Amino acid sequence: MQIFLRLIVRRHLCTIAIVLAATSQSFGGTARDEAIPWYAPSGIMFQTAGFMGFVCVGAEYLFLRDRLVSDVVYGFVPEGVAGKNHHIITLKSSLRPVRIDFSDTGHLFPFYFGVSMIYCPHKDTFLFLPDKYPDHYYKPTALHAVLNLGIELGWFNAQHRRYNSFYVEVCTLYIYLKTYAKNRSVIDFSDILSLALGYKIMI
Amino acid sequence: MGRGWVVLFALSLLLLLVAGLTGCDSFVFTPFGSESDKYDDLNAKNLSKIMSMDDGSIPFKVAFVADTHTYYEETEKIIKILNNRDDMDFIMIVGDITNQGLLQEYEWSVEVFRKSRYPFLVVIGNHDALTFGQDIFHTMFGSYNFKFRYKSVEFVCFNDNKWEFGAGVPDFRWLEDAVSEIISPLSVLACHIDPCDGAEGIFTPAEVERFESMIPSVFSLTVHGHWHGPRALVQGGVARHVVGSAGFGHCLIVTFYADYFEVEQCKFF
Repeated sequence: MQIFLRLIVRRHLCTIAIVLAATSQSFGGTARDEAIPWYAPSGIMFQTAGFMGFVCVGAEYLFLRDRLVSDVVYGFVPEGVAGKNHHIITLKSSLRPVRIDFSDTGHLFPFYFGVSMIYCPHKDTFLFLPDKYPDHYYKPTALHAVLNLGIELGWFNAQHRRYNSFYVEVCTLYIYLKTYAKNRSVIDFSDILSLALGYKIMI
Repeated sequence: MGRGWVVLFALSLLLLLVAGLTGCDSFVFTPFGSESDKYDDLNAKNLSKIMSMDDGSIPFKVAFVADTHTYYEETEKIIKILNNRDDMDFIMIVGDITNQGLLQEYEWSVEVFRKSRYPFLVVIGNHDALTFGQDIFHTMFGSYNFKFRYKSVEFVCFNDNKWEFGAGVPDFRWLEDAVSEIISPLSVLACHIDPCDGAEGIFTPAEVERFESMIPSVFSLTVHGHWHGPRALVQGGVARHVVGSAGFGHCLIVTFYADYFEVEQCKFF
């Protein structure tokens, strides 16, 4: 499992690096200034819920003429919400196959879907199996996959010369989905879902 | 399809999602919650129900179930079978009610256990202690170690999940105190991992020896989970039983008489 995870992490980083190198980041089809470093995000996103935190802020990267979105997100969950303060770091990738432009400044991504990996670093969780356990004894407890399906509505703010958008997502944890598939007569489908609300500003 | 229709479709889908989730816990901020707002102190509440039934009459039956994690449908089937039998006094779940120690897994398990017509008690398992499961168990069920006397039988429920808890577990001092207070001719030790089973190397030889010197002196029966297949062994005059996973229909029904007991190793499906 550790090897598998390392491969996933490496592959994910490699994919991002390759895509970054091979495609120009863009928004609305406009190429960004070449002087901007490769790691500079295309935008900033804010989100609540969707298993990613109570308050989340992240950097957004756009590829493939805005159709592929990758976010690196930090989420905080206060003690009052979940019994214990904790932090969640998320790598989120979404594909937005359809874009509809309307009026002169608005656009809609009528649906998009994606996968996120949420990581909760804490002394009570682990990414790699501690040495005291035999190999493959447990799966990582700090890392979970989230599947998301969403809709995004954006517009160009002429005054600030920036694109903004709102999005709503319905998300599920992969292990919840797997458990639901095995126990459909006992578990309510709504139990495995969470809504997420977010706002993005393109830089 | 025109763009107007696509927009309408998307907005309708959105409305449906929002409407469908309204009334549920629609916004889940984290799967790593450590406090349930639905259930608390369940073992104490159920123990109080059990003690209220203690009229001293024997024989009585207790059903032991284990390793219910992810097998919610199968566990529900076992509970329905036990409900139909109508001859239990209570059910004891000997650990591993969750897979990753997540709050949602704990709540799903309790929702299934609550379908039982009998009071149920839960002993913590190694999987239950993962992530923030130790905190969740503590608020949802109560102490990790607890004991009670019911109809002249002593039940000692013990946390021996050493790897997951680290220092302080197993708490030999607590167990020795519990053992020293036992006066009944019949006594049961329920802990998730069989402490005399050195197969996984969880306990050091010194710890196994300590358990082996303590258990036969007082306990007549020890009941465990952890392994998903049932096991039975009589060693040093003690009947050691591994229940087997509820996922495969396993359940152990023990009938207690005045000074002896009978074990029925069941496979319901």
